[in-house]
Amino acid sequence: MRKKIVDYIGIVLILALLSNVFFLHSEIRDLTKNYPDEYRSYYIPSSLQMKFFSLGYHHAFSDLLYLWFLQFYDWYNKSVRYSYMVHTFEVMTDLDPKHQEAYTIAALFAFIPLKYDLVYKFLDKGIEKNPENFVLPYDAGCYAFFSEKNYERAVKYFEIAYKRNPDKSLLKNLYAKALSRKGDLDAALDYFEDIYARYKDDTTDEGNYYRSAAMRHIWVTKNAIAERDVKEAVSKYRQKYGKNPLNLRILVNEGFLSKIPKDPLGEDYNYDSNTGEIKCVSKFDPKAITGRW
Amino acid sequence: MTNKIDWLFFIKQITSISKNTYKESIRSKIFYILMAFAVLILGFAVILSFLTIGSQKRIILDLGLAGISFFSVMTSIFVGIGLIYVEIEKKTIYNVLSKPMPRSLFIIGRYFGMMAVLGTNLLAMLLILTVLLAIFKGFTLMVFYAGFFIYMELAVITAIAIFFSSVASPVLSAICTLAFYLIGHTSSTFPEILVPLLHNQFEKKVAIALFHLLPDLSMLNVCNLITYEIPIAQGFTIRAIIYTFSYVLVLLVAACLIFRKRDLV
Repeated sequence: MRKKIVDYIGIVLILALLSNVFFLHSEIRDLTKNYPDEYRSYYIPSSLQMKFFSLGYHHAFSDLLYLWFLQFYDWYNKSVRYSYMVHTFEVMTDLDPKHQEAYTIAALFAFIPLKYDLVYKFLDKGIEKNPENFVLPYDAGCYAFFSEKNYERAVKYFEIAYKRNPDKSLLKNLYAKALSRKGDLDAALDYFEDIYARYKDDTTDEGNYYRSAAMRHIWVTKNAIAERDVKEAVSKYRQKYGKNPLNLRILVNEGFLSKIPKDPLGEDYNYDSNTGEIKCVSKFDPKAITGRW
Repeated sequence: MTNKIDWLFFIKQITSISKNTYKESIRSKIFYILMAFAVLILGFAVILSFLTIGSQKRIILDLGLAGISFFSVMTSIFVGIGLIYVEIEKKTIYNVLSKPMPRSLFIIGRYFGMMAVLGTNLLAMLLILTVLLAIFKGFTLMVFYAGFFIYMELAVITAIAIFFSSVASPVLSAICTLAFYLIGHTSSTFPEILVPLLHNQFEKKVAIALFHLLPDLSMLNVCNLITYEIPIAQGFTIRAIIYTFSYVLVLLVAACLIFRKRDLV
């Protein structure tokens, strides 16, 4: 009889405790449901500690962290998620400095809200830690060139990418384009002419693409150089005489131009003495160019 | 001539003890439980690889090799710690030691038997990983090179387990062997973490001496190099093998010396 009472008390106690646990759990969940997601309990130790605790399996830990990073930062609506992103990224890439996807994906996540400072911070580390890698500077250059339109920065990154892989025409082409947009037309023209020379007789798809792209770039850049030179010369002439010259020959005679500029097909530019600007009258025609360049 | 006969006798004794150890260990439940965990980890690596962007092959490779290495070491520790002690506890060791043979042969036979078990285990897991990598077109022969160095690490860990098993109870042996495993994988961080914390020159020298003296298991871990196919330093393999054998010899000789004088009653 006594034993049975003890059994019953035990069962009642277990049930009471379980119900207590159930209600407590519900209450705690209610209390914490309004916490921002970022404050939920997660903690990533420092790189040094992670290196210590990963027991030599640095890459495996970096992979796990990367997977977590993908799941967590892929959730765009978090208000302060970027406050912890840098730390997570640092640990991940300290554990495996060659983890290319970690750099590119972190940069992509930072790019979505246009946090360029973070984009370049992430990619700069990858560029520094992977001196052979050309994808990371290429990636950084694309963000600078196509999105931020920061051509000076784009030149810096495309130059690194191009120097790391000089055989890749895509990099050379982008580097030249960035130089051109930055205003360094002469250097850009050299690179476009190199590309054209390389693919001049190449009839493959790649050859056709780069040759025709280079033709157009050379055309535009040569015209831009001529326009720039004339503009500068006219400006100097105007400073001296208070008016625009009547023709380009006067600029040459006065020593403001070394020679009368010719368009990419070797024809004269149309000079307007009212505006002091030149205009290319020839039409861009790849077939016409092919025989002449 | 006499020497030759003795060697043959020794080899026969070691072989028969090894065979028995192999049969005994391969039937151990712990062995199968840990192997099942390792296979699960390999499967888990494949599932995880679907969650990633662009690193599928490397995730299977990294987690696969780490899982194989970790569970092989756990097998080595938890099967290895009972190898000597359980024999003494069950008094089955008397049947073996009553034969005209040195006690040391028992330790050596046990060690080789355990290494054969671990070799089988490792090979099976590497083959599974190979198949997985082949499916995901990420197979590289270097997986077997990494496997060879996991085996080298197991050689050291098993020698440590055998050493402690011959002098202490299984629980204490497990704790001590696990401690050595942790030390082996963290001693490489001594100069980076421990030394800057020390202010006394003598303490720093002791820390550096320990850094060189303690088993550096992280040095035998080439898994991280395999991912990027980074070439292994010239002369590394042979030096690492000699390093491993030196450590194994030190531990086995110490275990034999202690076991020779141990009172088994």
